[in-house]
Amino acid sequence: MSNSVTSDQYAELPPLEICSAVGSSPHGLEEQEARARLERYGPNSISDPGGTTIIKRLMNSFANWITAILLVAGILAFATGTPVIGWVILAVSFVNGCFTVWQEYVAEQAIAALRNLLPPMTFVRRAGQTRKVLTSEVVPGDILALNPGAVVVADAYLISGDGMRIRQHMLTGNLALLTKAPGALPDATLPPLQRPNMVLAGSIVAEGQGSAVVVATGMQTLLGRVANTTASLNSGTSPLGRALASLAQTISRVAILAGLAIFGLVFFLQGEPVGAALIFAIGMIVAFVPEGLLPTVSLALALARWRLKRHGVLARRLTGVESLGSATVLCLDRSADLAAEGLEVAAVWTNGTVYTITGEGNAPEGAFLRAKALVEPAQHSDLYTLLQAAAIGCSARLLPPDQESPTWRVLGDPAEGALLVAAARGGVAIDPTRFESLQRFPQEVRRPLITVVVADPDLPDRTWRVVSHGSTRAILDRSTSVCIGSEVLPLTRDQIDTIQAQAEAFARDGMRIVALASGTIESDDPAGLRARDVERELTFLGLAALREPPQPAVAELIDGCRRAGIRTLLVTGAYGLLAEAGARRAGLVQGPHVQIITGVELDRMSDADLGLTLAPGVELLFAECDAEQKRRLVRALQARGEVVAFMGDSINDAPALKQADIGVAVGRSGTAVAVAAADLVLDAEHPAGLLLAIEEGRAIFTNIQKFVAYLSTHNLAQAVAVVVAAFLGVPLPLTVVQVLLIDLGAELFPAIALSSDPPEPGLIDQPPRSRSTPLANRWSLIRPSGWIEGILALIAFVSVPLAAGWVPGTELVLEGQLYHQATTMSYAAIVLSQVGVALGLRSQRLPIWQLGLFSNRLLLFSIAASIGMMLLLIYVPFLANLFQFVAPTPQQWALLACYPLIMIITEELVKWLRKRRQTKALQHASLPA
Amino acid sequence: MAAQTSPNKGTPTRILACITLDTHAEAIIQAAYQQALQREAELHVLHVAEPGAATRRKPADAARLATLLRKAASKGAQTQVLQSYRVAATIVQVAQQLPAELVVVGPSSTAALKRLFRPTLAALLEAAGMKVLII
Repeated sequence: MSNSVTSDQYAELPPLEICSAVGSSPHGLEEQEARARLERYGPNSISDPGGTTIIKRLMNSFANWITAILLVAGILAFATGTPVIGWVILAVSFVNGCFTVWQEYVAEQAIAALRNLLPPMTFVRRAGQTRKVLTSEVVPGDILALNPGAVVVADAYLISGDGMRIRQHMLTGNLALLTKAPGALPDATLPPLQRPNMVLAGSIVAEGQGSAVVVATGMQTLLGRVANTTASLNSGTSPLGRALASLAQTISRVAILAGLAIFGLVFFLQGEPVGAALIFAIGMIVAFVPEGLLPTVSLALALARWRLKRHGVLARRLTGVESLGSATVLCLDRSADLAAEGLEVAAVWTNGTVYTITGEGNAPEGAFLRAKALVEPAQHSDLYTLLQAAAIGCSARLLPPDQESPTWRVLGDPAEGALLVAAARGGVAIDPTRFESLQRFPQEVRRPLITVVVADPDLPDRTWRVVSHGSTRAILDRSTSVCIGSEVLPLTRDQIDTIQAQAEAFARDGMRIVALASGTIESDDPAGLRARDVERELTFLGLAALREPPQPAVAELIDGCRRAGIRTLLVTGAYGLLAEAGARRAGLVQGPHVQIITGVELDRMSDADLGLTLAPGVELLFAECDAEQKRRLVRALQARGEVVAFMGDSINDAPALKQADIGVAVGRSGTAVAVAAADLVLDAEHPAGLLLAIEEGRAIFTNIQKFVAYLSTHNLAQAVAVVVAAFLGVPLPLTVVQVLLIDLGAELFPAIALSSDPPEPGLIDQPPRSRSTPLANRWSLIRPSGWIEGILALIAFVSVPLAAGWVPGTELVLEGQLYHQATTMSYAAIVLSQVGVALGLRSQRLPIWQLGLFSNRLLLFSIAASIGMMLLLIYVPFLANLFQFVAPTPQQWALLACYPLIMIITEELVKWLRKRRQTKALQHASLPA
Repeated sequence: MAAQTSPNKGTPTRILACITLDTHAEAIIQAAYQQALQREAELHVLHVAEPGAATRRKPADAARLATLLRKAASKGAQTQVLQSYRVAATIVQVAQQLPAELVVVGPSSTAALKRLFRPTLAALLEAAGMKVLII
């Protein structure tokens, strides 16, 4: 193979010269030479980037903050003499590790899918004979024999071809057939995908036959290069992963500080021995570690995945769902799907009034609206006359659903079909036997209108009806009167100006305008009339505004993203104007001006310029972009701090799909590589399913925040109770075992149940959360409820000696059964208070009475389980003796029964204060400076 | 000729149709459409679902709701899906905010015994001064 000529430069060479440049000929290579080249260039396959062993992956999965503190907590639990808790914590860590390994395994399927794209065997010509060889043995210089159905196994230039048409959908996602022919290209700068003389690995021959000389194999092909780029990209840490790491760091600091403080208080103020103080401090540290966090996150993600799957959204990577909830930009590469097929009449204008028309597809059912109010066309003579003229003037036919098509369809010109459908929706049905067509003058280059002459039984003898439709100018030029209600009045200059202004207004909205007029003519021989005889002195009836209807599902997606505060950008391989037209129809572009940036222009931009160009507020559209340009764009958006979701379906999109924070492939038309590189896969017919995933993602994050707030409350309560008791010189209100029992026993299930709460109303309409939003901020770690719960626990503790005759102001000495009963009260106080906290935490905005008590039944079951466990520990003699519980009296239970209510009131008060502060802040912000 | 307006408020006449996923939904939409056509009024179709219902609803129910809303839109209705735990209160609130001259609802599915303690949607709307058409 010649080193002086690059693969791209082959494009400008004639077939024979390409053969000679690669050291081959149309007869193919000799076997010996082929073997030598196989040695030199290696096998024609997508090479394995090198696997990682399961053990190594498992080890890597432990290298994160949250697992590290779990492991430390497990060891400390063993140190405090609670091995059961230690084992549970270690098991949680191990399960988390396995979960991470599984995630990585799924993520690496992208490269595996690439390897399966090429067939195992192929036909090549060697030494003048066509032979079947292993695909992996194809080398540069081999001559590929291409027949219908064959998959091209390497990048090659055609040296002969007859009617060759191929599909490159594996590379582009576009199912259209492309014509390929041998011959030198005048412009070698064309990208390989667009070169007519080149066939690329992964393409399929659909028609014709030919032969091509291989110029690149394996990882040197376009397919291989995409594979290399895709494989070399790391998905990176998800926004949730970053938030979890940040939470773990915060919790570690708080736990260590709390442990040290408690050790000091217990040792110095309480006068406990060093060993006892140390064990208590360790217990507190373990209590601060959220053992249930990882199972909660996994459960929330798995439940969301299950729910989305039922609605056609497949989450390949669990964290992808949550990441989507924080997405700030959605890049779309689906320009072809932005609009549905055909045309529809969106509105008509007559007698100064615009009527919008609704309806589905070509179905004759629909409605006419005037300023959103329904109207009956038959009650408005000018509108009805216009629709009648539209129906009479059309040669298209409207066919009902049948075996061939499940929906109504139009036979004939799409514009005339749209007029016919509009007339049908207005209740106009023309009987062809009543309006017999006598003459039809089709549109011509210098006569942009269509005119028909029909018999009308309502007209006198020898008088015929003339109906014309066409461009506004052509119709106005031939009109002398205008229909106003049921009257016909002369057409004035002012009326012409008004009509033209309306036509321009429709055009500005991207509509195509058809003007309509009618008239009558007297003649003995209507079949002998000429166009210029009938197209005169017409009565102007009105305008019809036609458009290509937007694809409802795509329009819904774009509208939903706008409501969710997600910026949507079209990033496509299609040509600019084509992409703009589609984007306008789908509502992606709304302003009069949109900046179209092509892939070539993108290459010329520096990173700084690109970053400035991507500033929000400018309507942008990226066209003619290849795989690397799409990826660069995603990177540039990420550099601006955006969380980017990329929606695509071809191999060309694979690097961008993997680079993005969330890759979204569109199901059926998506290539295997795009699907494998994506985090989410959508059903092609329901792209709006993405909105469901966004809502679920946001719900997951808020639910984890609730979980953390719930756990923080009882951690803080325990710390407050212990610290206050230490300062007051009161015996410790909780034993270390009770602290751990609250942490891992009673509280775990309600905490997990909180993660299954449905999204709050209006969550989808909120702006995306900031990338830096933490799972737990300062306020969620020092919640007012935690302070109050701690005080309540102390009150419950002190109620026992008070009932036993202790008088405040005297020294409180608690021993034996009385002390155990007091600590049982503290334990029960915290467990029962947490019931109120759990119910109050369900919504950050809505009060509990608006949420409905039964809208999260799992939480109710968990609360019941939590209370049941507490009662078992207190009333089962074996357990009570083991953990030193003494049952409270009925009076003491009556006191404890008030605690959930107190906590609910506290939570609601906090919500009310927060809401009031936010309202005030908003009012302040809206005041003029 | 402009759309009819309410005599006292100067706002366009509006008809509100409240649909659930039961078998009456089509009839409610059709009846509301006829009423709106007769009065040359705006047609609003409302479905109130419990929060999170979008993904927690059965796929068949989701498809049925999408079909109903599409059909309503093709009849010129402005469709709205709201999420609220208090369905009846939300409907009354929307009817008052529009304001709707007529609210079209389906028959109550509340058991007779429960009605002793909980008023039907129609009763709540009537109590709020709305005209109600029960299909």
